[in-house]
Amino acid sequence: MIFEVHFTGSGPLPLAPPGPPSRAAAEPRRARLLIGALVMGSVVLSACGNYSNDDLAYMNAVPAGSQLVATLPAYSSALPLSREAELAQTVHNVTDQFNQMLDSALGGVDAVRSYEPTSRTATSRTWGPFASDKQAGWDWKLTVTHADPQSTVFGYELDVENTADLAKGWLTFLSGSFDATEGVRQGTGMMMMTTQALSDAGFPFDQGTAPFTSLVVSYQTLSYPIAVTMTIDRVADATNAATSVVYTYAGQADGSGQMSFTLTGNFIAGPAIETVGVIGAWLPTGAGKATEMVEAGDGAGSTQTECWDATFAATYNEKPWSPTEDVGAASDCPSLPSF
Amino acid sequence: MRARTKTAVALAALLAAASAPVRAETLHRFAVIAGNDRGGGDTRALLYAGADARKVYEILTRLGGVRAEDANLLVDGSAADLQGALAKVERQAAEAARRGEKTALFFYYSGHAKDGALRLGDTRLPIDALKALVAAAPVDIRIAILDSCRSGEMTRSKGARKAPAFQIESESPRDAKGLVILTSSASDEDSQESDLIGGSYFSHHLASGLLGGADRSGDGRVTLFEAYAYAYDRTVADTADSAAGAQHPTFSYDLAGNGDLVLTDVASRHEGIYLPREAPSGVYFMVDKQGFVAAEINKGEGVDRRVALAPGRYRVKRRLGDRLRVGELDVTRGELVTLEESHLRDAPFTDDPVKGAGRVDLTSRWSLGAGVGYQAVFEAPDGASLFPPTGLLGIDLALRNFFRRDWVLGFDVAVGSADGVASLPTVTAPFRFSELSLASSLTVEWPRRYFTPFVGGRMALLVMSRRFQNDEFPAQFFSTLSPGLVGGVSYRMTRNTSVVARARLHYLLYNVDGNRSLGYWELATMVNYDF
Repeated sequence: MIFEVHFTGSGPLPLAPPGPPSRAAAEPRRARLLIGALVMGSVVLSACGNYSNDDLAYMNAVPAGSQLVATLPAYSSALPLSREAELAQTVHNVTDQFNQMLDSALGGVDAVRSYEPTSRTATSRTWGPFASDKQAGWDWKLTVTHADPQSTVFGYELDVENTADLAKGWLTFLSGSFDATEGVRQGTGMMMMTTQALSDAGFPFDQGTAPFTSLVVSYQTLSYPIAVTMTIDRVADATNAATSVVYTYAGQADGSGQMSFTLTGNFIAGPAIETVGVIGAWLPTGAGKATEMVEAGDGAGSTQTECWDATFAATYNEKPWSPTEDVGAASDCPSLPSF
Repeated sequence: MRARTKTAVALAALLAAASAPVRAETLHRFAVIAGNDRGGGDTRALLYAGADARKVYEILTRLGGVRAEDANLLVDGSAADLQGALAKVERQAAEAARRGEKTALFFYYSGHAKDGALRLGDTRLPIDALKALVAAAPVDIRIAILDSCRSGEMTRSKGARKAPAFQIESESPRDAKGLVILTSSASDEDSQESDLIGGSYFSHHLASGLLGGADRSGDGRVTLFEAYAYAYDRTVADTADSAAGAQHPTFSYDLAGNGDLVLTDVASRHEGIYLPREAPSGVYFMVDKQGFVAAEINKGEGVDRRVALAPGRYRVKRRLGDRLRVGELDVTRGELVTLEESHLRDAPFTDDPVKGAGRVDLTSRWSLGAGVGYQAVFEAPDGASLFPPTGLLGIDLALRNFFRRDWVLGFDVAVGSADGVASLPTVTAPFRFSELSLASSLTVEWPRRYFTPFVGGRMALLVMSRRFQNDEFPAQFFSTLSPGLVGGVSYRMTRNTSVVARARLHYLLYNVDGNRSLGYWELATMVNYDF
């Protein structure tokens, strides 16, 4: 996880100040006013809580990680790993990666939905600032805005600040927007995370995160299949010339889903680095099918198709560049819905 | 004072001896008995006027030869009600007279009187008008008893004096005809009530006398003069040292033919408590199970007394110089229980069964109630989207007559739960709403015979929370103090049990999303038990 937050309390509620007493009032009237003011003061002071419909609207604007994660049934640990179909394993790995990235991006904002806002204005709700447990010396805050009451679009921004260098002010860690419709977190949204400015400011990213320069997630939760597209820009290295990775996930209510992604690496023996596109789909049981197409590098244009059953054991495999691994027939593949 | 008392006793004794009384069964008796604690805005409410009227009604219908259908009891009635009851009796008496029966009217009033008029709530009946009404009643004998402040005004115009201001011609015919008026106090005196005995001094002693305490002749019948003499003696004695000063009942008569009149026949039912001749002399208090002093009998040395108490359990007390003698007796129907000294035991003064009994029962008492209600916030659907209409289960604890009479200090707790939906343009979220209400109220009630309306103010601490379906949002809560008004009516089913219908109207300040003034109403029905 890139960023982790923990709440330690809640802020005070705004209270209406009592009006000044009238000097011109007669004594009995003043006494009555005083009693009335005491009663009303007690009423005002006693009114407290986080009971708010508006808060719901602001909380609703922030996506829930659980809503966007890819849900491919897990491989049974009771079975030897060698039994798992090759592409099923690839889809599993990529799905885990996808979910981890989502968790990294949404972990912070997910937490705020469990707590009441620290402060409220007519057009915003703010959680924080709070000290980060994981990034010592850094504070964070999340602000959700709803500038136009007639609009269904909400914006949000997760900012961080180095408490040892307040001159730099608040830096944007993550920002996003959500166009809400009726229902809970139903709508379309996007969010973006950039790391350059944070890296320049010395933000202590987790190891392995630094190569990412930006992460953009767009999603729609209005209707099934839920669609999530994650685009990661990163710095190219010797084994990976790609600077952009795109994951596209679609999930049905019954648990079936599809994940498409592009991988770059030396997957086929030879001097060239391959770029392969993978489309994997699965049923709620876990049985599925994946097609891998070599887009560039050794064996460009070749396509591998593999199917597996609910235990993720291969039922069909056609691998042109390694025919000895072929098993089954195409008819052994499960019937998958279209996404 | 003592000389005057002795004279009254002597005259009463003389009366009893010289005048063979008119037997109760020779007359067709009618009664109008009224009691009203309230006398309008410029008077302070009495405590026991209604209770006194009920006590006299009970005695007259049980021992006084007045049939239930001929007795009219008005508690907290108006002047019009009283005039109506007198008119009704006049019609009944006229019919009886046409049948050739001799008739008597017994009129009793306990309540306020001021500025020459009886005060019945907010209505007035001039004493002169009342006197004219009673005097004009088509009966042979009219007996009017007024237990009210300055009630002596009613007798003053007839030249009444503080007792013993009456003369009976012993040689006069036995059949009495005319008008007799007894009042609890002189025209310049207040009539006093006592928390200790749970009634007015005069009516209490009159009732005790009618139950047998006044049967000086020992013939088992209490005559008008015996009852008056007893009530006079005991009232003056009890009030002599009071802050308001001694209270002197008055008596006047206007009889064409004279003769004493038997008011109660304590021997006829042969039930109650018998104090034998050998029982020690002194004042015996007989306290019923509700704590009321049912009778206070002043027994002389060497005389017996028959106290015609209704069936029930009674605690009996006699006070000595250094201790009490107390005991319990069960009076069953048709049984006259003899009080033996062995029935009594020594007890310290702190165990006095009379002490404070009246105050506990009539001025300060707790009640506990339970019931169901329904609450809804105004400004729907916005308000309802926040706080949905909710059913409530509640418990009420009330303390009556603590600050003032008929003021009720209440404490209540209620819980409720309901399903709701937060409907916003961008989100629709079902939730489960819960509420806890803790409140205190101060109400004023106006007790009637069966119905008691009440209104007042209330301050509630509301703690409300909601949990969202599937925990899609964190649970929310809100607490606030909510001032409001309460009103309703209770209906008394039994002596201790009543049902209550109640409405509340409350202000609700909501300040989380911004200051908003909301309100809610609440309807509830409860069953109350008075301790």
